[in-house]
Amino acid sequence: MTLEQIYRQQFRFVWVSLARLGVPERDLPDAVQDVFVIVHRKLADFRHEARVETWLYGIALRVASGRRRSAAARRETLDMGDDDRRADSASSPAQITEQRERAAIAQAIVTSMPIEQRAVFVLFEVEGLSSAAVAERLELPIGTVYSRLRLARERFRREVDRLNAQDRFALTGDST
Amino acid sequence: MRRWIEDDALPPERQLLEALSSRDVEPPDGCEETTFAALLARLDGPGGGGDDSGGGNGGPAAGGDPTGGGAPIGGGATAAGSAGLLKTIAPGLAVGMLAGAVFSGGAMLIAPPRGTPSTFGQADAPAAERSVPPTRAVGATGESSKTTDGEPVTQGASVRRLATGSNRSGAVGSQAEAGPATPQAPDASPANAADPGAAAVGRFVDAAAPTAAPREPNDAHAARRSQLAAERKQLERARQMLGRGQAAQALGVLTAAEQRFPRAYLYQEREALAIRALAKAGHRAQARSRARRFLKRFPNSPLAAPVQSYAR
Repeated sequence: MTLEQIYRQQFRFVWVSLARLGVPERDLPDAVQDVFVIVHRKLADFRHEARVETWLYGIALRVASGRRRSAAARRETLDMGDDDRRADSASSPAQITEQRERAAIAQAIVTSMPIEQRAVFVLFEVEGLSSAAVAERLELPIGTVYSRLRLARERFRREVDRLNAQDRFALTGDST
Repeated sequence: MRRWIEDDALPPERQLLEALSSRDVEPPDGCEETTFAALLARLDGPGGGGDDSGGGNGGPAAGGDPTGGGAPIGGGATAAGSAGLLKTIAPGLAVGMLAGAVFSGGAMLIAPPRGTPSTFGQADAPAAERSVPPTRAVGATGESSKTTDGEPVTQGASVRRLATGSNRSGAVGSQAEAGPATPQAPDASPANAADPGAAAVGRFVDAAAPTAAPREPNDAHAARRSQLAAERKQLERARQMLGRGQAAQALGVLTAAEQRFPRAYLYQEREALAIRALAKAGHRAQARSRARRFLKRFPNSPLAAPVQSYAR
């Protein structure tokens, strides 16, 4: 299989995976390229008995993880949510914008997770894969999938609680 | 094990997860091709795939020989195509590097290359007119990333900003109010078709590097400053109205600004603000088509990211 064949078959998969893992939209073309540059280098070593999606997802995880370390990437994602939140706080209810705002908040929480938890959480909770499929995609024992999922949920809940507390503070000045 | 959303997630968690799951993350039309062209350019570049940005973050998959020598890209036709592609890409890259856009303290400064007025105007030309895909190609986008890389923004602080909407104006608004340091990319509209490259450079020079400004009569200089100030004032007014939820009024101000200054220095800022105002006023279809036009025309604009969300 050539690089171009893999690219043509898997472009969408890689794009969507990176987006779900929290790579900002603006950085996606570069991140997709990063993935396929690595594919290009490693293609000769690829064991064809493994699923190509599993291989690509592993690479995408590393690329997303590296990009998360970039302050630019974090800021990019959050700027959009901030923009909409601020603008809409004073405008009439707009469901589409509200939904986008919620998605931005949720994505920020997910992106703050360690990459191992993030991957499990995204695949299971967002993409709706079964736990067995998640285990296969990430080449993990199923017990590890469950434990990471539990930790990710706990983290998500904590962040939502914290946001709610901050909202209360912002509205009332009450820090309790 | 059941998904959290179907199990014991609390209502706020459920809402956030539903929003996240329904988020549109599909690649935009044409992106597959532009990204592939850029990928070929990287693989054919110095070292044949030696660019390790993003791939070099550890782990077995990220390793590899930085000197290249990777797998075959495709058939003979593809290889020939990529070689041809590079020939046309090179000048675009040079333009991007020469443009030398830098961000400083939230405001963008663009220092144009001396003696290259006719090429500088290509930096924000429509994608169809440039041979370089927007990714990694041109100064504005790439350079901005470099600068923000260095900022110590913590995730906790970022989440907090999302929650409270504190101490920053919106992405579009904040860039629109960047003031004298805000760039104005050359307007490629028919109205500006006769605008020579030198004039475009003059605008940038005025914004960023006064010492490099071409000579011009004092009255012309004063008129330019006066127009810039008036434009900025109108944008600020519209932005404040938007912040108060007066989207229709903001649109009125922006429409008046369009009539008064058809060839605006702050054209991109005004357009981005208008797109946002249209969306907030409930004119989603108009906002979408205008956002798409904006992105087609200014794919490397620093305002492209906020505008993008209205293009969907």
